[in-house]
Amino acid sequence: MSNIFIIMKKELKRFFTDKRMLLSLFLPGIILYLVYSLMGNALGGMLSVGEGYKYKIGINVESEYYTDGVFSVLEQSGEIDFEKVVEKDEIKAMAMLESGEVDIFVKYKKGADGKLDEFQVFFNSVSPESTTIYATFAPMLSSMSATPIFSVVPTDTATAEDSSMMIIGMMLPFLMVTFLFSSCMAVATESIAGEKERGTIATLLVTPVKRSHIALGKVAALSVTALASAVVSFIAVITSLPNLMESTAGTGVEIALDLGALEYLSLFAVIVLTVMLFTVLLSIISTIAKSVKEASAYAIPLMVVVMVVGVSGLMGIDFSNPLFCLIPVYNSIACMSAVFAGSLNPLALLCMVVSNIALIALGVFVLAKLFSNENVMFGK
Amino acid sequence: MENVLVVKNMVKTFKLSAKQQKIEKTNLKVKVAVNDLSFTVKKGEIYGLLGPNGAGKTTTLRMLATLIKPDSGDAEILGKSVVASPDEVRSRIGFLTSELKLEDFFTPNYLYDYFSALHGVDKAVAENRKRNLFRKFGIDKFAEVKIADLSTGMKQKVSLVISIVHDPDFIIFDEPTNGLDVITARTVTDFLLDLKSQGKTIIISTHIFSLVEKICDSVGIIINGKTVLSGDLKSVVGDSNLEDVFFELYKKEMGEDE
Ligand SMILES: Nc1ncnc2c1ncn2[C@@H]1O[C@H](COP(=O)(O)OP(=O)(O)OP(=O)(O)O)[C@@H](O)[C@H]1O
Ligand SMILES: [Mg+2]
Repeated sequence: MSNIFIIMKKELKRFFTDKRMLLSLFLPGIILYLVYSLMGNALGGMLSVGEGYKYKIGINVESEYYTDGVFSVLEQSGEIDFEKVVEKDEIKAMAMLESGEVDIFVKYKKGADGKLDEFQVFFNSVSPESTTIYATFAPMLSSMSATPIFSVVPTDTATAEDSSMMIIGMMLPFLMVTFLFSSCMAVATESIAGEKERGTIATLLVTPVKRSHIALGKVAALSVTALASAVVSFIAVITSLPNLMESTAGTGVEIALDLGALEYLSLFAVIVLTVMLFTVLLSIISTIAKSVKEASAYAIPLMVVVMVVGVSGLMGIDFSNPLFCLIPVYNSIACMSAVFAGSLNPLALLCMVVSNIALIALGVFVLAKLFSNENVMFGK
Repeated sequence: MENVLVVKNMVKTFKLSAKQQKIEKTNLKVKVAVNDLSFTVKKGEIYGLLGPNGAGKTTTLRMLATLIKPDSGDAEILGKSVVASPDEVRSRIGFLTSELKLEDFFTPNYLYDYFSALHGVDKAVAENRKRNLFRKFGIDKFAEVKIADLSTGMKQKVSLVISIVHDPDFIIFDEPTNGLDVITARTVTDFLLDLKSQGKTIIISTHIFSLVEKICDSVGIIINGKTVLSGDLKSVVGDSNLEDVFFELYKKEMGEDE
């Protein structure tokens, strides 16, 4: 048992005192932070509304008792400067909304019995003017709709491509898995294939230490290292994300950044287990390979599989059947997305934990077998 | 005298890949590296395994160090079987070869402590041993220099010291003076004699006749994976010299093969 710790300690010292190693482990996170922050700031600048802007509010009726009421309230509040644009044709109005001729369009519909029954509000989520006026105007309409005859139906006219921010939000779990994989790959190939290539592992193998202990010590140290690097990347994403999100407020990007303790715990479990799974798989590959180069080459098919499974997890996240969360990698992405969306199913989380622990245990067993196989360790 | 190493009918074959077959210029799928090898080493002696390139010396020593397993046969070192209890054998032997490298990133001091800990050596004992060995080999001045920055000779000395952190009674040394300058080579051979004077048993492999003549008590001549002669150096050589004896045997062995 103590030998596992001795080996682990040495491996950790190796990783955390080597400047080059540290750079390769933590640079991606730092770069990511910079890129995301810059992107957020740039977008933020792009998406802010100019001082003294006059909002154009489109409406489908000239003058009605209720609509006049709404506009007079808005005028009296003095919060914003606006002008009313009347457009009776809805299709034309939508075109105007997209081209920015109006910033918001209110469709007023009279009920059959002559009573006002609905306000429908259209806005364009890629236009900062539109989102800003929507944010001011919609609550006003809903507060007036306290009388049951009002209802506000917000409609977003932005097309799917416009919602690129939403895609970035969805990408987060996928990015995370990619970071985890690349940091695991850097350390595992260096620590195992590198040692084989340089002949230093043989020095360890002539000591009486059990092969399984060597394997465990390495996996533990590699997991800790990869985890540290992944956590740095993750913190970079999380801290730079508000910048990115702020600039896109009201665009329908649903990322609950104010996660609770339970969500953080789930997220942590997902990340740790994913890192350990990747470490074990990449350690096996690195043990079979004769050099770092060979190990990196062997790791590419695995990386492709991880990417494909990851993208499919991204595309069709199906929480309806938690048993899908028995599939490795897919379960990592699905659980992370669910945490961010605030809709994690406990059964799905359990499936993820059980499946990953089983695979990690199996992997460590295989690794120990490989370490005691002379053809693998000393084959020419 | 008591036998501390008994090698009994050890056989080791390697499967050859197509690429290896080409390199070795053979159609055979398997290479018999060690072919029914037997010999014994007595306590407290230096035994020299002498043979030409490819004779199977390294393969034999690796089997003794339990890095690889014999296909059949066995060897007992200090009463422990290399096949049945490899972990116990490893804790009693020191194995040295230029193939065993030390990690460039660390210092001799750190690596000494690391391997001492892995061998379960008591801290105080290890500290004491380290001081003596480092002084003896002049490593003390380089104790905090990374292995990467040491000269080849100094690296070899550090390797040597680290392979005996647990003060083993049986030492296996593949090509002890290979690639060393005369001064470092002398340090190494002096050290082997020193270990012998402490009552340790040593087996070395070499193809250098003079080294055997200088330091060995017994010799085993190995050709094509077989011991063609093994015994006390004086009785093996007789009135002749080692080189002549060797070539006599070599001619006979190769003649038989063809
Ligand atoms: N892993 C291996 N796979 C295939 N063949 C091998 C392997 N290891 C050794 N051999 C072959 O076995 C034979 C004996 O090799 P060995 O290294 O034991 O010889 P040696 O006596 O140490 O030679 P040298 O003096 O050159 O070091 C050689 O022909 C070698 O090519
Ligand atoms: Mg050899």
